[in-house]
Amino acid sequence: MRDLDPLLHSQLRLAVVSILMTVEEADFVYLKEKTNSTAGNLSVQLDKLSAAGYIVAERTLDGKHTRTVCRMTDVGRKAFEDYVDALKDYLNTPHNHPIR
Amino acid sequence: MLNACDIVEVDLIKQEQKRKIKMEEKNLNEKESLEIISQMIQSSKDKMQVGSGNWLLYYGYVAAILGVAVQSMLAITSNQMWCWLWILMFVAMLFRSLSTRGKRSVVKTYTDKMMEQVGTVIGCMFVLTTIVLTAFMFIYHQFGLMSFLMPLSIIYCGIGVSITGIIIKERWVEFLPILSFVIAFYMFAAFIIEIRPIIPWHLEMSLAFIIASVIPGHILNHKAKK
Repeated sequence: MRDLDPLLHSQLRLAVVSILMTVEEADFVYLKEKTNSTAGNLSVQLDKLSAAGYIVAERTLDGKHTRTVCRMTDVGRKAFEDYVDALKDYLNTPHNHPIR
Repeated sequence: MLNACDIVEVDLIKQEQKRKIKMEEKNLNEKESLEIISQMIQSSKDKMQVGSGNWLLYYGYVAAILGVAVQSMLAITSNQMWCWLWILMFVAMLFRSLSTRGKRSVVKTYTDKMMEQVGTVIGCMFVLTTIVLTAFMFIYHQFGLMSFLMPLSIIYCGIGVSITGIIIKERWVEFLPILSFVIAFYMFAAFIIEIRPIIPWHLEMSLAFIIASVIPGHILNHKAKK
């Protein structure tokens, strides 16, 4: 049985990636609102996903404010698909153990 | 000094922050993972934003008003130079592209992207056709060739709106432009077999844009409000 990607196996990171998989791009405020997370926590998780090459976080100047727009990369898409496949494997295994 | 209410409020805020921070720390099981995925997909599902049909209303009303204005001026002055008023369509295009430049919404769905790309392709077709017809007009001294631009514009706009209808699964937006194609083909026929159209040429253009652009624009906005 394949291992679950530890980077995606976290509540907030998984939530962010799930959203980004369904849209072309989303900005920081939208992700914060949909995931119901704090700005600090979300920022840290976005940096982790970005560092792994799963997402691209583009920072632009919008008037006086900085705007962060995120989108999935091909690497991220592949990782998410693998993660979902691994989840399916766990669910289809008769005596599966809780995933840690 | 804090009173009892303030203390309770601070406590609630702290609890909320703890709950949010815990989102990252908690170990997930497979069911929770799937739950998060489905919850997030559901929450970000394609929803039309209010004002989705504004671009159709913008071009539709500009074309409809221009058609009436040109036809009125022709009737009053009998001077064909008034037909050049249609150039204002390009000014309207330029104005819109400049006013929306750099503006990004908080989320861009795949539907938004597709609709944007359809608009770009239709816009390019329109500009390219204008360039080609203008070139032919000067090369072959056939000034009547520019008359083809109107029915072609109706067809291009109709195709764009119809594709938008297919993308957003809105039957009326999908099929209404077909009516405008009838007007466009009638305009072609009237030009080629040299018959006098029942409705004046420029008013046909207004009517076609009301059918293919204004009505679908209102339908989209109404659907988004729902």
